Amino acid sequence: MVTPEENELLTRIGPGTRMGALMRRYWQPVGTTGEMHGKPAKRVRLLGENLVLCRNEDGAFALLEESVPRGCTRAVYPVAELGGLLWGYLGPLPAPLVPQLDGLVAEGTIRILGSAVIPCNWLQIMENSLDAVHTEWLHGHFFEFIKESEGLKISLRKKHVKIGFDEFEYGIIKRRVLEGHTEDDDDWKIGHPVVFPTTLAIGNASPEWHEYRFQIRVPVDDTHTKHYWFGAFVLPEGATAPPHLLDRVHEYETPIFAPNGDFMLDSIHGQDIMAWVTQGAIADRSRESLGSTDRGITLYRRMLLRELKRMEDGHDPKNVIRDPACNGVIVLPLEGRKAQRSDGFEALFRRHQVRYSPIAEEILAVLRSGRAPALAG
Amino acid sequence: MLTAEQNDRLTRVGPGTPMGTLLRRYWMPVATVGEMRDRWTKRVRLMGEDLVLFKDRSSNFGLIGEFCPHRRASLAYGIPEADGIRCPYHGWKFDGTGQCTDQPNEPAGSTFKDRIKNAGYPVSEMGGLLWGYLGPLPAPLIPRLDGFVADRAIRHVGEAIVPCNWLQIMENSLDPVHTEWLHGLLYEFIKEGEGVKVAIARHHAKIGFDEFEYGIIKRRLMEGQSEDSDDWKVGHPVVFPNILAVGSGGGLWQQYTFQIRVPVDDENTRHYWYHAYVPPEGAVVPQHLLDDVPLYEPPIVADDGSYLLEYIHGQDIMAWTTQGKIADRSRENLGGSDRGVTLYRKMLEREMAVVEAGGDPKCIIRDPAQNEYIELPLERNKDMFGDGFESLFRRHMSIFSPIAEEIIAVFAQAREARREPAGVT
Repeated sequence: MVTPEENELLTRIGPGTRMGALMRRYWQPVGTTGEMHGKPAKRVRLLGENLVLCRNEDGAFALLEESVPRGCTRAVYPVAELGGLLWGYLGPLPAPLVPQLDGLVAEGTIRILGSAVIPCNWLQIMENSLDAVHTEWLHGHFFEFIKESEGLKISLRKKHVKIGFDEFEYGIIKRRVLEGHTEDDDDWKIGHPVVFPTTLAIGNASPEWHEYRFQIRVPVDDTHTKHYWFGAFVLPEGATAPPHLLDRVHEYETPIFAPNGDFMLDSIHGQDIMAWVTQGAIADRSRESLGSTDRGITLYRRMLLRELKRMEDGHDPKNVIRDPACNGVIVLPLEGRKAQRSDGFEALFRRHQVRYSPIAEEILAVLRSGRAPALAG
Repeated sequence: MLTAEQNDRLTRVGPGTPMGTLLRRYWMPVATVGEMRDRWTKRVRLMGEDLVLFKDRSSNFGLIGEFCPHRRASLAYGIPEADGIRCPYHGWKFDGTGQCTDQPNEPAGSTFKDRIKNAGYPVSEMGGLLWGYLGPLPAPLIPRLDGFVADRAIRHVGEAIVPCNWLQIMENSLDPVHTEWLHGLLYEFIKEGEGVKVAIARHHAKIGFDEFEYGIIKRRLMEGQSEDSDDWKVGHPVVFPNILAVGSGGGLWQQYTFQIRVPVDDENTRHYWYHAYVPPEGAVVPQHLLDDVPLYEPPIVADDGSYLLEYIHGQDIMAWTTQGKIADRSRENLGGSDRGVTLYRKMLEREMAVVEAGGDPKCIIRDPAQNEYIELPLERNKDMFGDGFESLFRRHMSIFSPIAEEIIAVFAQAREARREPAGVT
């Protein structure tokens, strides 16, 4: 539980707010190079500011303040390109480097990017990523209940025996041991990270299925979050992909509401979004009751406040990289055999929002064409 | 005319407000039984509180705070169990009192759950409706008003959210004269715009209001009527605090109408139009019409957003909502015909004082012997409805009910059987 004032401090990111100042120290994705082909400009609302993504006279991208009062100078923010994505930086200059996360820069991958605007504050979405146990319920028991009303009986629940959270150089590693598994399993031994401040990395590394997956939470304003689902699929040995799958990031809009306006409760992302949105436009943390499984959340909040203080003390906060020598490929911990994915790649693929990608079937065909016995699952 | 402070005191119903405290002493309908047949939960906003009505796997109902005390995800998506409901996010379980009874991922033997209490309120069924009670325990009885429990009745209930404060809707029911204008001359004017000439307005010669055990009886004498008419002699009541009861009938049959005004919050009211029709002796009534109380949603505005001024309920809703979200009674000017409104406001003030002094306010019933069947004073031969059952029914919002034609058919068949001409049933 936090006070209403602490909740305000943690969640509000508009111009002039303290957390907004911290978030402005990080590059935020604002689009893709592909979508800007032949398009002069695109509106971008970011951190409570109305901006326009466009090219300047040199053909380079920049972010401009959309409207400026008479007599004021129009703010211009730098834009960088990495991994087919365009990143904007709203902080003090000189801007740091865009961190080269492994999945963004891996060669020869099929890249997809789903996106949706979630009508709630960014922090409750991030906290979900520090909350290992929710999968057992929201994606387990609750999923079963939803399927029960459809007359189906499925079982996704597996009890958490143990959860763990460790700070590492780039953020927090989240670990779990599910019933019937051990600390030798990847879920515990490797875990998967939240890259500070707003990216969840949860992919899969095995010879037959090697995928990088990032969920990037970009605060639009205090009560909306642009959610990016980035996926980069490494071709299995022996597989080939047509050039059009490899030459760009394939974007799509991820539907988050059913036609009747309700949440899409028969999908993992729809379940998450139901939980996030029903917590309120800005979750009221002065009325929460945290238990022992919420210590990942507490750790993350403390880290936000610690890095805020570091910044206010005149230092660069965590994950701000300025030395090109230190900005090689950032190899994140990546699990191979996850207990929750025991029913096979294809089944998982179809449960996941990836299925809304227009190239979903092509991806499956490419991955099947390799030496990939496990894909039969 | 009231001061702004008096207006606030009379209208605001949130937790801790004087009027909210009074209204929490009364059971309020939150759903129909049928509505919950094929679902486990329903969001209910009631007197400014966000609640969830849920059914557990033993078919018991509970009414608890919508947001899980853990991290505030919605229990409207909860997973029902034999004796409670679990939050979909982390499985915390709550019983109907709001007590947390299980936290599946906390260590064995933890007492954390014992300290977690959500809001939780009693739910009970009466007349095909589910009622919730948000006041101090022990809860009183739900008044078994005649129309809710009468034998051999066909029932249905219409529901709409009216976007204004509850009090101006109630005040309309203490205002007999408005029918002459809003449902009379305005209606004639509307019809004139359609090129149709109607004359239904009749002048009120006299109005009267009397307090009785369960509320206020409202009486009217139309021009040309005698004081022996039911409209004057019997009248019809406002059952304190929030139900208008109107009756009608032809001697052989009886209709009960309850308009129940349930405050959603300060600026919205859940309006129920509950009807019970006791058909004439010998009428053949299909069993399903007696078993169920179907719910329907009559339109309250047209597709283009304009008021439905050809309907009585549409005329009322126009008047209520144009008075403002919360009518500003510091800028009203009450006249001689508004003394029913004044009487009702005084009664509300008086009963708020009773509650503040620790007593049971008016219409709180705790003795089951008093609550077997509460027969209200209701007109049997009501002048306004003199042109027969079907004609009235078709002018009324009940026509939007899924069983409207079946009800008309029951009455038509009964009339045939008695070989009576139309309009005299």
